[in-house]
Amino acid sequence: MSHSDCDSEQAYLAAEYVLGALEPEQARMVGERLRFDAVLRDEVAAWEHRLSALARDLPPRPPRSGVWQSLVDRLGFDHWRQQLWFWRGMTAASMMATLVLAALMMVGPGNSPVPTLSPADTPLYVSLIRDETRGVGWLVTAGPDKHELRVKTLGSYQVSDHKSLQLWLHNPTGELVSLGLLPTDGEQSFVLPTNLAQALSDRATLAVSVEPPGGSPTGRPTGQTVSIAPVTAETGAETYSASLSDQS
Amino acid sequence: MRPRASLNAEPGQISAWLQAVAAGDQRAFRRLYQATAPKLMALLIRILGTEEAAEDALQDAFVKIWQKAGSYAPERGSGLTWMLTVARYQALDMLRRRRPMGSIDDTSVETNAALAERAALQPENHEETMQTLTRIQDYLGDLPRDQRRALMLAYFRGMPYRELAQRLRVPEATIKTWVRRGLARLRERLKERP
Repeated sequence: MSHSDCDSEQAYLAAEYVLGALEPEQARMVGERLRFDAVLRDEVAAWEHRLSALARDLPPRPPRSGVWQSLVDRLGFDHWRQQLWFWRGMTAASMMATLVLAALMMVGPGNSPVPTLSPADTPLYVSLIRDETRGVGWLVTAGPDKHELRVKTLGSYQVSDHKSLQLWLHNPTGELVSLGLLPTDGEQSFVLPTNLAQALSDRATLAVSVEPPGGSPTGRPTGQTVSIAPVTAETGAETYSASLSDQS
Repeated sequence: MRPRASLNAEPGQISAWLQAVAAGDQRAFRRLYQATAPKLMALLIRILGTEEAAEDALQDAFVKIWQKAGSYAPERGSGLTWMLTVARYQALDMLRRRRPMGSIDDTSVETNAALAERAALQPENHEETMQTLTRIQDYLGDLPRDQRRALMLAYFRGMPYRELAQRLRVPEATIKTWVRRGLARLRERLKERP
């Protein structure tokens, strides 16, 4: 965080601004300064963090259920239209479910059951990454908005304590970007930022490399690539995704 | 449908959700709400005093979070801190709009004795009150009661120095000294822990 020093007048000013202890005119002037004073911005951020300690440990109080629905209504999240598009996309989703099932069957018996497909979670992008030498792999799926990538380990992957497995996206323009560290068993979800979500398409490939603990230090694969697999998208998925985007 | 409450999100996960929300991802927004609404609600009740007012503020805060998630900068602090800050400023704005000066019910920042007394009168709140009290003691240590109270009133009520001075019936310069001592103590305590 910041190098805030409580002995400095500026640090106190930042703290008092965050607290709300300044008079309105003084607070307005500090607000103006924040637009161009990076040091003061750091001080304010540091004090927001420190003072939030007084709030972070309060016992949680779940709001009543109606609050979420009111919020959704207020923000105009349009559920019925999404459900309409969902039903239009069901044919595509059904075909994808078949593909997912087929992918699991390829890996053989003893694996976990097929994940339940619910309307909100219907995958439209899928990739089966297999390590042929070990006979295990990962099933990667993403919904139409591509912002969440789900990875299910098929089998249990043994990896040394001094190594980790990293998932990479190789998009059609040749760019190679890290999606994060892969689980060696069980399931994991990754939330993708917009640029990565956009790069995930049926022309992309996924790759897995062996890296130091915590992942590649260089932002590029540094160890052995254990597997590469294409991403498959069901026909109509892009149309479905674009339609949903149009609603926002 | 109400999102299931979950408080187990990793700090990095909250940050990732915020970045997805900035891109308009409604599913990430829903998960963010699931993971953080109870924490924000606790703070808002503490500031505004009633569940109804806190829920109004919670909605307003999440509208802002939806609209402003793009301004969250992970390098400047955790996602939860940013969200608590948004919620707190929202609640303080509501409080300032509705209160005439000096009419504040500051029960949530009362002295230890008053807190204990209130807890005894309201058994359902006893555990929460005592937990809060313990945490505040932990952070502000052995600060004299009035100094601690001044800092808590400023944080949970957003009171400027002049108003604090009137409230606590001491000169403004004294209040300023008390609050600054509280700030210094808080900074030291947080430095001692990871």
